[in-house]
Amino acid sequence: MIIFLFSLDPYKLMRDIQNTFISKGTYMIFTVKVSTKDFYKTMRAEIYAKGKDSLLIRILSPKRDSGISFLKLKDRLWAYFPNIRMVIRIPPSLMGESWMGSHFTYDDLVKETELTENYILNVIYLRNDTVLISAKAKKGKASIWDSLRYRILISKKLPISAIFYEKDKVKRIITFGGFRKVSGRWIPMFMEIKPPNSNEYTRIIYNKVLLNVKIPDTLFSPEYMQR
Amino acid sequence: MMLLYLSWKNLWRNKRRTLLSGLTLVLGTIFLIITLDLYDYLLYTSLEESAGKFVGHGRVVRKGYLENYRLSLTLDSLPYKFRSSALVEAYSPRFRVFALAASKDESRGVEVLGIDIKRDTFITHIERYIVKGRYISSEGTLIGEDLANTLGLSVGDTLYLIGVRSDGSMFAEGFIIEGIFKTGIFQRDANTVIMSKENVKNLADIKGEAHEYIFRLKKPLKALEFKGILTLPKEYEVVVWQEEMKSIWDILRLWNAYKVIVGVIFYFTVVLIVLNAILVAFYERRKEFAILLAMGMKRYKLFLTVLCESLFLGILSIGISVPLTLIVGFILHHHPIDLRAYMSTVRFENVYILPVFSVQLNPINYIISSILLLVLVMMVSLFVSSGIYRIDVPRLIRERGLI
Repeated sequence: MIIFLFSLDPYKLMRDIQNTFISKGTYMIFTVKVSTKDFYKTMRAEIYAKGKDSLLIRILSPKRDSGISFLKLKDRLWAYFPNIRMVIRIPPSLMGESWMGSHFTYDDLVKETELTENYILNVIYLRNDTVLISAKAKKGKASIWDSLRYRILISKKLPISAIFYEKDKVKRIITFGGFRKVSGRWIPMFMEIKPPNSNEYTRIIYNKVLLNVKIPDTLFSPEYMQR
Repeated sequence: MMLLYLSWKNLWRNKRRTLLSGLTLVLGTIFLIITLDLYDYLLYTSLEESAGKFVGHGRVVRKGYLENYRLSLTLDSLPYKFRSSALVEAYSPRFRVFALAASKDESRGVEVLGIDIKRDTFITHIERYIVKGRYISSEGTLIGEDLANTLGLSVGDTLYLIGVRSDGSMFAEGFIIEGIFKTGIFQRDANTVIMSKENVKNLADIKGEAHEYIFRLKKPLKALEFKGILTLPKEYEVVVWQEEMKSIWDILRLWNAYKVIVGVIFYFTVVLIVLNAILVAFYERRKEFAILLAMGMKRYKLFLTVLCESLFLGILSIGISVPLTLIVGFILHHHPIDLRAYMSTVRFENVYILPVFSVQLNPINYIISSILLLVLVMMVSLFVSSGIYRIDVPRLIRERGLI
């Protein structure tokens, strides 16, 4: 076991996990359920993605939000609002703000893949098929979280949970579930994000996941969002 | 009674000396009161400047609102007890929404304040800080100068606001900019958008009458006491300026404590001059004291006579200096000397000191100065008059030139 612990590369494992949904062409439809002290809402949205750097999210329902789109190109993010017919770039200063009133931030849409670059990863323990990896922010790198702890199912290369810390205080917990094999790859079809000691949550349920489909490059431009 | 009469008569036996000592005390008192009133003016105007830049003297919010500014934590109307309080000069409802402000090319996170366009001006003076355009109507917006520069917008352009409504859905709407303000506070000028409260309520679909009621008090320095006596429903919370602008409050408290020390330091020179005058007078009158004692006058009576002379001198000086200071203060209070054309406003943290020479007519300063003057003159007089108990009568009478 100890030998296995040392032979486990947390960086490689984390890269694999972060690439779960990444393919040369990904299409997904998902439902978001947000429950806060102030409101409960359900949204449906579709995602078009190409590799790590290009992602387009379009809100399908409710009617009030329908047509709102978000485009990620590398680390830049734009939003399109159909009622004012405007594409607006989300500034870096707002990356920590809530996305669509949910517990996800704009940063989650843009920087999620930077975990292996901005954090120092260490294996904390290994038990049966589960490994706990800690991630500590590298000094001098811009990171929203001070540290994270990922619990991972090694055989399926799937995350079970992730805890986000700010100055040693738990700020949010993400749990993953509904594991299913899609295009030969294990994928969590359910994700829940919760602030600690709170009844609030944001749940994401993937209704449809297609990997390695053909998606035109023209989709990923601010101009296309307005069409 | 006889002693008092004697003292009064003695005081005017050497008019020049009395007038010189009195003049020193009068001028010292006038300068001290004016100095204290000037510092008070600087501090009170800095409080009014800071309070006038959007916040007022305090606000009433729903308990917990200030922790995370949740959209749903609104208030209905203010309780009658608050509205009818004699201490409250004015109050005004406000909504607050956090949004993304955008032009065609740039965007920035902002705080959108929804104000009662008319009533807010009784508490704050946003309209004074408008550098371009005009004060808002029911439809337009006011934005800070730094925000306008960042977004590349000016009066007449459209500002787009994007954010989350109370039901979780997104709003995105455009508003015409009617005016641009500059308060000198970067956070305000770079991150604030002001609109009518009806517009903000509709924009974010907010239920309730207001997120907060800002208010102005007749006696702002009594804000903490006002909060203490106010009995509001338990879901209401009152926050006053002393809690929000701690630096100004700390300076004011420190200054009030320092007033006595400043007075003592100020009077030190004055007292030295008076001490000198009283000492000279005492030594000049030693032979006179010796004769009075030889004629049978009790030492304590002589001691009291000399003390009363100083008391009269002190009271007389106060009687002249206080009305004179009131006249000077009144003129300066109503006709301040504005040096803003030559000097800029001094700012540290949220405290603003205007380069305007004026005074705040504060009765406390008159009382402190008068009491200090009397105490110090009496102390000097006590010190000098105690010499009466050491007068060697036979030796002084034998001295040449006495008889």
